[in-house]
Amino acid sequence: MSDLRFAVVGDTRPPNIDDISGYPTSIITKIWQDIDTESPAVPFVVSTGDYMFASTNGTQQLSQLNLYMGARSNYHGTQYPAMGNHECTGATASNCGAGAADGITKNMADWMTMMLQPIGISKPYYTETFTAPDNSWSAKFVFVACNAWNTTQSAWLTSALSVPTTYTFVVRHEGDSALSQTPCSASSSIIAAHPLTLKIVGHTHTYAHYASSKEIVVGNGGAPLTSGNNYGYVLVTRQANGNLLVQEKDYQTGAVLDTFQITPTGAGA
Amino acid sequence: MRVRELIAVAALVACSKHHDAPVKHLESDVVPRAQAAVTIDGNWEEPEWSHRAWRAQFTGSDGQLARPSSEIRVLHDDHDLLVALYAADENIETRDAFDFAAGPVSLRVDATGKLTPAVPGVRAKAGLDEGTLDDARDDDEEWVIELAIPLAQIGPSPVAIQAARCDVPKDNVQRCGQWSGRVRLE
Repeated sequence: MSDLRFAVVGDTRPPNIDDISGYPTSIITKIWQDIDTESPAVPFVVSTGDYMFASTNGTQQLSQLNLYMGARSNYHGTQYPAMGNHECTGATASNCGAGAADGITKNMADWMTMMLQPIGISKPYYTETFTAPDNSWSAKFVFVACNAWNTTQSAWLTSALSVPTTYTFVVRHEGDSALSQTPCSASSSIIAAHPLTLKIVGHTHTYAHYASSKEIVVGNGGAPLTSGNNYGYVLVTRQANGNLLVQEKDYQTGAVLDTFQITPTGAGA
Repeated sequence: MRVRELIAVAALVACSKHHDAPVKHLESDVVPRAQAAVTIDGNWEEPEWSHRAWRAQFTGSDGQLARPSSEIRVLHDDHDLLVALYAADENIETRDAFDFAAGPVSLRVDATGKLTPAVPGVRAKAGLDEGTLDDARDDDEEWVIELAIPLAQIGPSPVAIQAARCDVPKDNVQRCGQWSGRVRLE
């Protein structure tokens, strides 16, 4: 990878459970098309979770994921998805996985099959690392699965965050404001004990930037908007001086609605 | 706005939302008859709401989809017009409310389900999904009102419907959305 540039998309679901008629297909399709036509090209996208709103005992998981992946097919790069609460049971407090309270739901199984398996990932939590050709910088993306939390993931998170890189991005569905409702509130102290460039979350259906906690919320990927922001996505681009330019873009107009720069430590630049 | 324009707006809103969705009644102003019982309890998980109800999204004064998002879904049975009013909302407060009118019946229903004025025979219940009422410290998602209004009070089909909602998200800017039009009962 010649330079670090990626996009962020998050939260794409209908208003109601098993509501495939309300799936925001046209919105998420436009978002992926927009990202695909960005110049310079965007080689990969991270997504913050919630790709469906399906009852665990129902049959709409694959149908809704197929709509999502159909939209996603408009983009020719790689997508690295985080797990949302709707990929467990739908409840923010739900916890999935073998041995967890909610077990392996159909939502989780189908999501992993449809979105993780194609990129060679076998667990809902994982790390992706990118390095400059001349080794001048490196970046790790640590994907936390709040709704598949267990002691194994906790130990993995500590280990993953201990690997030194120039940039560290934590991608987790639930942001700080919702963390106490999740099974993974312990992830907060682990993350706080390690270097962090930017925490990338969704769950809340809006865009927001909280500089003090090094967090951006990107949950405006088609799910019903909870604030005044429009649907859109975020672009992150490494600058020549090593800082990162973060831009939030409107999916209809392409207008940059928010922009800020941070250093590799996450401090404002 | 004249009746014909209202119907056109309704059709336009329905088309803009559903041109890619495989569901009945998409380009129609016909409110379907519920084929299964709908309980007015604030929990709109009955499949009728997702698979059968007539629906439209609210728009803002700019003609775009309202932000925050709101939506109306409508069914009827032998006795009542059944209405679901959906509100995406990052900070659900007791004062949040929908203004709703169907024919001569006009009312306001807040996020607790309280009706103003109390109309005899009209039932309303509110449901919060992943939300906490009157607590701005966390981010909420959505709330829903289920309404049942006796058909006898509404009058003959077609029925003029108006639904509106203003909200003040955490940025303290009030934003409003609405839908209005005329629907026919199946």
